[in-house]
Amino acid sequence: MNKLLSELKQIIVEFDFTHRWSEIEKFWTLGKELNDSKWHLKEDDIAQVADYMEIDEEELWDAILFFKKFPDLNMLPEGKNVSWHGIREAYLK
Amino acid sequence: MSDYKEPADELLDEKPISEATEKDVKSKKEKKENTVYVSQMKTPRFIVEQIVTSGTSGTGQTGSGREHKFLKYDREKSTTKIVNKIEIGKYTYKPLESELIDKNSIYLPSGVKEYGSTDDLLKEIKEYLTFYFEVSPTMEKMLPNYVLFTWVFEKFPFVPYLQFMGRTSTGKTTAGETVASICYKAVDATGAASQSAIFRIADKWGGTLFLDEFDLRGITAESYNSMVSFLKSGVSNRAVLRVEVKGKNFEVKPYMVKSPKIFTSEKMINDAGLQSRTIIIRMEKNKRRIPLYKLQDYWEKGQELRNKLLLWRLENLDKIDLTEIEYGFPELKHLDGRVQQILTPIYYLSDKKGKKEILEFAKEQEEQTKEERRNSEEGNIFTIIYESYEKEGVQPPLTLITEELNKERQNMGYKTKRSERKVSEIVRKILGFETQRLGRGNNRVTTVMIEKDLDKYEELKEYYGLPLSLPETYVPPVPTDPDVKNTGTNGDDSVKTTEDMEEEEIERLFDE
Repeated sequence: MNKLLSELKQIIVEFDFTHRWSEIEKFWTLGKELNDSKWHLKEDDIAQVADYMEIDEEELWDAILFFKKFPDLNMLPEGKNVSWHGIREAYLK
Repeated sequence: MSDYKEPADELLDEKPISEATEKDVKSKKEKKENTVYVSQMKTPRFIVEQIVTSGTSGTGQTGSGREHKFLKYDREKSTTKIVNKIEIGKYTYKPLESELIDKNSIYLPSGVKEYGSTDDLLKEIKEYLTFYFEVSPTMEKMLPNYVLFTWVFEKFPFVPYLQFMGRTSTGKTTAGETVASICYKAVDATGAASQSAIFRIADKWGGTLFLDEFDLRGITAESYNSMVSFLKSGVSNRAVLRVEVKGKNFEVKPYMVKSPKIFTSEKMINDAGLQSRTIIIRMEKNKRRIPLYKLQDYWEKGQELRNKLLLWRLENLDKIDLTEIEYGFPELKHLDGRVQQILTPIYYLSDKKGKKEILEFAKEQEEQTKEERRNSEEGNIFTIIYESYEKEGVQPPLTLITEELNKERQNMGYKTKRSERKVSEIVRKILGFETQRLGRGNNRVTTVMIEKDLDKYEELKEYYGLPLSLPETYVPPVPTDPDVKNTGTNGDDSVKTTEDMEEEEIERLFDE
């Protein structure tokens, strides 16, 4: 039984980590795209994008800021041991 | 002293996102948090109203491309200016952006235009309205004043509603739409999928709501009560509280929904309280030729009138002073209080001739209000008490009242009966009469003690408009009151009370 529990725990930890990191990658990639000069985006465009995509506008601004602060995801001080919520609290406020 | 300042640069920051620094983005984020979106505001110096430029609002064609701006009116200099935003302290105020505008569901002005005198404006409004629909001569004179009233409604503590009522093909939708199109910030909320949507629209825009084919029958009891509550609260400065789900939490949110409302329906609204707050316009089949389609003229003229009305609002809002009519107009004093409340705002804005017409209309409105009261359950019970007391000269027993009430209900096709206990509750708690068991031994009967409070009896006669000037054979319909439940079967096992019924059975009653 102990062995089973240990296996299950490992599965959960792995998937939780994958889920958290995927979210971080998602916002980083969104930020990268929004910062791309080819789109010629201005301040007011972000509100429209947020509205159309049904994403919170503040979160979109955080994605933009995230990319500006960390143009390379490997630059994150905590490495991969972090969540999107943690990043917003620590670096984007 | 206001800390308002003129925005130094009306154009938005043009720096693209790709070139912005971290500091720029942080400052933009902070600005966003301090940005407030409004459709109107007032400061000691300015009145600010949202307008839509670059294209007519409500042209009959959908599409974006219209610009949302503010028209700023200087109260001291009586001048106007169009701006993109207003900055006060750390806050930036911007016009509301909404698909309602792009999809022609809200009618906004595009600027201001000179209107001459108030009389000239009223004449123009009357011409516009009567071109597209037909109403009685009294209403032809009253409706322009109602339109004018919607542009200053917030100055009045009480807001009357407008209802166009009639069978199909009597032009009630056209009439409602046409009137609404030139009212203050009119929103066509007909297509609102839910009541929550209507609450939010009313709270967000604070303008006139138009509800087509609005019929409170045929919906569930719960949403009926919710909608009635919304409409009743919307006549005065009272918030409607709603529970909303936010994430995993429940939040009680207040909505300020005081605003003029225009609705159309085939039947009377099934609520005496709401009905008494509404000016009803009965529509008949047109006797003269009326345009079948609303062409470009309709939209352009509507826009022009909105612009004139906006200027009228800005120039007259501060002039409205209700202190001189704190107790109402002396010439309306003889009318029922509720009738006075709904007619005073329009009476205030009318000229001498208009006032005369309103007084005539007021008499009709009063009779209508009293008729609706008589049609309520307690009104019906009082009518039975009154008829019995006036005819027999003795205080009526509850058994007799209950019997008569249930006979009428049966004639009207109602499936449920009222118990004597329920009738007694209404007599005591709503009508305010005492009841007492009189007689001896087995002949003791519960009697309504009218003679213990004859002042109350006279007051209720006046309240319910009795005696009637109607034929004796007239039997007022007994409405279904969703709040009234049977509390007993009065010893008759064949009678089902609402407590015994399944929910679907109860809901079917509302279809009667």
